[in-house]
Amino acid sequence: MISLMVLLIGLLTAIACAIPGSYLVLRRMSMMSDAISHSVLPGIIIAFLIVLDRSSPLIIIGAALSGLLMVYLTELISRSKLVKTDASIGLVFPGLFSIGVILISMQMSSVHFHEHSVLVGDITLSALNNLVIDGVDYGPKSFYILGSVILINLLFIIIFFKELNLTTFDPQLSEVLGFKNLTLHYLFMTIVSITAVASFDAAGSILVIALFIVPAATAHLFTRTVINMIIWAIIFAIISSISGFYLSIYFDAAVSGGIAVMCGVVFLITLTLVKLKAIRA
Amino acid sequence: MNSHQVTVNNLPAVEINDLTVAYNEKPVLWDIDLSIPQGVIMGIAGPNGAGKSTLIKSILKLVKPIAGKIKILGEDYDKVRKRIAYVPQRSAVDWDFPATVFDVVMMGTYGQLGWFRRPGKIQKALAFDAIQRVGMEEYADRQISQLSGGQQQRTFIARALVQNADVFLLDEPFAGIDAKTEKSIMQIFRELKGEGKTIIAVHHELITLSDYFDMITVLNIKIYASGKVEDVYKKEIIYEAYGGHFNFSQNESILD
Ligand SMILES: Nc1ncnc2c1ncn2[C@@H]1O[C@H](COP(=O)(O)OP(=O)(O)O)[C@@H](O)[C@H]1O
Ligand SMILES: [Mg+2]
Repeated sequence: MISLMVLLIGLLTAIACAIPGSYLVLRRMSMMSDAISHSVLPGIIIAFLIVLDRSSPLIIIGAALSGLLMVYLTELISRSKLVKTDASIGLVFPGLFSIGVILISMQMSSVHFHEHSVLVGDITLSALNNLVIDGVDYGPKSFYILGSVILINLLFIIIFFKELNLTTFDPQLSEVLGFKNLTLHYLFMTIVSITAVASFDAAGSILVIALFIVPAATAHLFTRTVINMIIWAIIFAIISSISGFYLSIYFDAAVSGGIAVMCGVVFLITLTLVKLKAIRA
Repeated sequence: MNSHQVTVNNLPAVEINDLTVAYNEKPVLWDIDLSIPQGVIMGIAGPNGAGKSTLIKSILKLVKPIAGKIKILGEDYDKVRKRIAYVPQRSAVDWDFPATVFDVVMMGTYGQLGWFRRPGKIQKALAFDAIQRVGMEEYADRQISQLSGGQQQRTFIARALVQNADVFLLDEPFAGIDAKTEKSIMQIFRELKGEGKTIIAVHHELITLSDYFDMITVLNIKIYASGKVEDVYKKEIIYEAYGGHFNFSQNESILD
């Protein structure tokens, strides 16, 4: 039963990440997504210290705020033209991440957060944390959080589909036609931050990036339209998370590790097929 | 024709006064004064790094000048946005983006649609017309990464045509394309001019400069000359603006 829950949490996490992942790949922002998934940590810890409930929605808000803080600081530094964008990302996120790690080691070395689970996630823990109202058990809270995030991500992409495509493909024309690239950028970064937090339990800071980038990059190898790319990214996320779950059981390893490995395997297989000109979508 | 329309038609398409632009405190455009009348095909010439793209981007408010005023059709850019079409340098976008020719041409309708509104039948019909006009109907469903340089450029031109603008700003539309595409783009420019539209195109190929344009602006940080081809297309002017970067032995006869 627990292992079915773990499987489902992994699956929902992978789907949630694959949706914004497609635009992260197209906008060449994998570095930024990595930075965000690290920077949400201090927000998670500080919000946890306030509400003392690891699955409270307030944690998501706190974490999304620290992810956005990182995007904003990066923007400030690279605007100064003193360093390039990727360098300013590199300046900001290790700072925020280390604040998070220091908070953990000071406050609660044996409580809810372990440095290890911060890095690679602890999916089993969240599979055990059920939503109980008036004595009725409604299953793991993660289901509801991840389900909401998937819904928000889908809505975001449906509502802003035309604007996202325009500003991603041709940002200059987008500005010229009167759209606000910066507004869209921050909205999108909010979506990425929320997704990074919701995925934290299942994947931790380091492996979230695999879920964001690899299924979408795999889909990008052969798809001809953005819609197809998103659909295929979700399909690859599903395949990788299910097979990754069984792989991790077989090797008795962290589930997130198994999923990340399978994301890579699926990528390599697809790449080979594309090189052999076997698929096109 | 009433008097009001006449005054509107006499306004310059673009009027620039005392424009200075710098990146990181290094000036790339210096005290530019330029007036481009409506209904002409104007070429902006100058060597690499002369600030041609920057000039176009300043007109479109994509870069912020240090000083100067720019009016388009007598108005501030924001007021006449919908009457202006822009074709960026082909290399400015990622051609691996998953989209078909049709998808990209549709983007030209987004300005009229604004936020949230989806393109419908009308927009699709406009896009098909424009694709036909540039002779790309066979390729409408083709992925943009599978196009030749000339086909990519025609896709961009079609996207601009969809905007149904009065002023067209194009950055190097003739760079890296085949002779057939070059001819068909020129044909479209002439048709647009016939409809009273204004074409402003960056062009650094000196050999074809005088064939393609009725007016030329020679730019290299400052403006060396601007006006009718016969007045501007002169050896001294080109030589001065291009400095040592221009190989005269090859082009001398053309300029005489
Ligand atoms: N975003 C930018 N930041 C800093 N310098 C730039 C930027 N864009 C262009 N430049 C510099 O400004 C000068 C003019 O560039 P540009 O307008 O692209 O010239 P052209 O289009 O005539 O080749 C060049 O020296 C170029 O290196
Ligand atoms: Mg240029």
